[in-house]
Amino acid sequence: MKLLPLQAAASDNYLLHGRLKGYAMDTLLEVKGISKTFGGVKALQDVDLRVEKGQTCCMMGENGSGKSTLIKIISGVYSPDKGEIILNGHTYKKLTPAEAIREGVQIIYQDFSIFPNLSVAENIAFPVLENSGARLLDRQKMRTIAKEALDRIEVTLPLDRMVEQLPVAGKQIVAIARGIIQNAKLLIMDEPTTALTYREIEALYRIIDGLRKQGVAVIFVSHKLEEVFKISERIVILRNGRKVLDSDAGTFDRTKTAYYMTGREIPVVPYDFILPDNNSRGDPILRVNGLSMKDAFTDISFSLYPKEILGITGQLGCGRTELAKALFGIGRHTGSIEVNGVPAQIDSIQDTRRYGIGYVPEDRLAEGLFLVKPLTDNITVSSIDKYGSRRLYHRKELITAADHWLKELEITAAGAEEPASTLSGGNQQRIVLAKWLATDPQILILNCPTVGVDIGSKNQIHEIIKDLARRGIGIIVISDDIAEILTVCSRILVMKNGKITREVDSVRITADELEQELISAADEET
Amino acid sequence: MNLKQITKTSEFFLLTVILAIFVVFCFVNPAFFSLGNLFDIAKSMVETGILAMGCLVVLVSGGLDLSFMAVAVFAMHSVSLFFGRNYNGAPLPLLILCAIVVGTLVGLINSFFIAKLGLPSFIVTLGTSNVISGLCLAFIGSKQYNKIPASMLAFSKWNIISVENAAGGKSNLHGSVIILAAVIVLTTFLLRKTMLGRSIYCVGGNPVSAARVGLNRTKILLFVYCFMGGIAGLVGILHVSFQRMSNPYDLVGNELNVIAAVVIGGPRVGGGYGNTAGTILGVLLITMINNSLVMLRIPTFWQKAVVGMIIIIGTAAQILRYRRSQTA
Repeated sequence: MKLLPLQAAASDNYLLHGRLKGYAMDTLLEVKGISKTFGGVKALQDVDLRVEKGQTCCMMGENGSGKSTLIKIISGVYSPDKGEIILNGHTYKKLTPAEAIREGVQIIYQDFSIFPNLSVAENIAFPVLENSGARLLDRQKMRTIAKEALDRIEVTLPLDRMVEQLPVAGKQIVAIARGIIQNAKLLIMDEPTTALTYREIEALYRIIDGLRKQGVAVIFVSHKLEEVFKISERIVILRNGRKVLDSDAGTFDRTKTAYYMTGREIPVVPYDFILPDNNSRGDPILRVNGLSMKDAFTDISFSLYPKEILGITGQLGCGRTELAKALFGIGRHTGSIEVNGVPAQIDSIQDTRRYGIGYVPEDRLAEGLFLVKPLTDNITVSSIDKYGSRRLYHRKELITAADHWLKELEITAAGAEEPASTLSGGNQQRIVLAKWLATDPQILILNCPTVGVDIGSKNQIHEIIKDLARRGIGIIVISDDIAEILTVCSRILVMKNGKITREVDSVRITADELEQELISAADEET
Repeated sequence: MNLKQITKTSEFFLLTVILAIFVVFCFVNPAFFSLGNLFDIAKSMVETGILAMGCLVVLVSGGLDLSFMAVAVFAMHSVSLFFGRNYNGAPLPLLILCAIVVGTLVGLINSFFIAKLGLPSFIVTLGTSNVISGLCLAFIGSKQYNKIPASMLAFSKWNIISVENAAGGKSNLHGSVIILAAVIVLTTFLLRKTMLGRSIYCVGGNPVSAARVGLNRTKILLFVYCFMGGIAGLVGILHVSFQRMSNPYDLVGNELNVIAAVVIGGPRVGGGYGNTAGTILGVLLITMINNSLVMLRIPTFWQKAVVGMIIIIGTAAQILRYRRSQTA
């Protein structure tokens, strides 16, 4: 606390030194000249960061830009090679996780790090009770602590409910409340809105706003531009381990975000396909008529033409994922599906392969990849019958095929025999894409193809999708990323409560209109 | 909890099944509903019930112990032989204490591999179970031993309730049910009231989150497997007293009875769930069925098949009920 004398100085004196005054009064966290190297790779180089009390700061950057390393240094998980961390005026060369927590640093992990088998109250209060050194569980105290925590963020949750029975948003609230009650001064949230509906996101913003008024600072990691501008006062962008931007959200030019993050200009070119008029458009490759699934969607009808990219958008829970899965033979549905004008009976995944339908799932880690298996196996698993002969397994042919797709989709990998877990999100997504392209599909369904993928990769994936469509594949893109839908798709269907409420050519609607459409859908529902 | 919620718990479901089976058995053989038989069931529950408490704690922590019978036999045989030969007048509490210590020490070996080295509990305890059985036969003794300490024999005759029945004989409730009750109370207290017990639920429910909260998984699991070992040691002594001799070939092979009882009592394999009430109901169900099959003169080999079926049906019922509650 070498700056303490400053506080004692005459008031007008340090008003002149606004910055210094800020330091003594309001700075919560200061990171100075932090560098960190992992096995020769410079994860962070000479990074400075200052966060004031009650400030909301959004941190952006591509995968591998150093965001997570910086967060882990602030929370004491890693210790920096160079530089220092100042929390509440205390300087640390090396910060331990326990010290970070004592200084009020709390992380809300993407998986929320909660105990599904315990009650809401116990989840919130457990760390406090554990740190108090108590040997016996005081249930009365536990409830009091949990109640107080929820009061502070002005939310009510049933204290005795098992956390596994809560929706995602509820689990997140439990995680936030647990952080707050541990005397959090700095809350670090890692992509907190990924699994939330519009309404839940609004509620989260209100919570963050309330915390800000109580002087709690929030560092927010996000890939979504809209939300960044909605709630952050400050934007920090990292690239290749360096801080390339630190700006007020108000004065920041949002069209420059992609440039700062990737270091190059990324042109946004909408897909240039326009469906010919009724007489000359030919037959659709996919026609869906009156498709319904219990508790998911009702009476869905649409057609998909060759070379077309059809976007289906709607908020989380509108039935879009169930629709995608139904077309891929998952779940029981009624109604008719025609492929190339012939009625198709699609009741299982095996059926879809016969009709040449490929599906890239939203959760690629759980549904699309064998993480520990080599890329070769991941790419060829759906088309394995095509390789080799007489039912024998020819590894070499598989590797040749895998190499082909690695090159074709510009996948950055050390080799075809590396496990899928070693790739970045964007490259993993391309592996899943390659797996289906290897089956030579005529219809491809992509469910949120760029969730958790950084901006540069996102753009490349969009280009790949357009390129595939140009070659004659009919593509359905399901997404709630408005910018994505508008740049990739030629036609858009808006879904609400399991029904299609609007159909529009993407050139005839603006981003704002589309967003309004989605939000109004969310409002009508409640 | 209101009445409607109570009827939805797995404990209520289990209780209904037990009552239904009880009524059926009473109709088939009226002797089933006699004080003597009820006292018998209570005594038969003692060994399974106490072991089930240890097993429950292990399951909550996310593990599975297959070595407890071997540990029980090891503690039983070594303590019986040592005191039988050297100090036949040893008081029962001393014998129990020694067996618990021996059991805990063997549990420590399991802990080392599971907690310290992080190996899968299923494999480790399958291995230690065989090692311990083998060593017991090789070094402690491979013969039945019946010159057991006098206090054990005295304990075998300790009845707390004795009622004259219609046939002129006596129906006795054995005193060991007090020990069962004590272990149940102790385990319930541990799991519900202590921070250690709640930490076991945390580690079983989500190991990663537990580490982030600052819980020491190694220490917690160390306790869990030592607790199981101590419990097994205690059961070893009770078993000698009931049998009035120490037979190193006893018990081992009956692990499934205990595990079945615990599993149908509610905990999900994988950890984090389960409580003592459900476990005791599971023990009651298994004991009742084993006991009744004897009374209905059904050959004992059927018991094995029936217990196996109960495990499958019991867990299937629990899982299906859970799935339905998730989709509803």
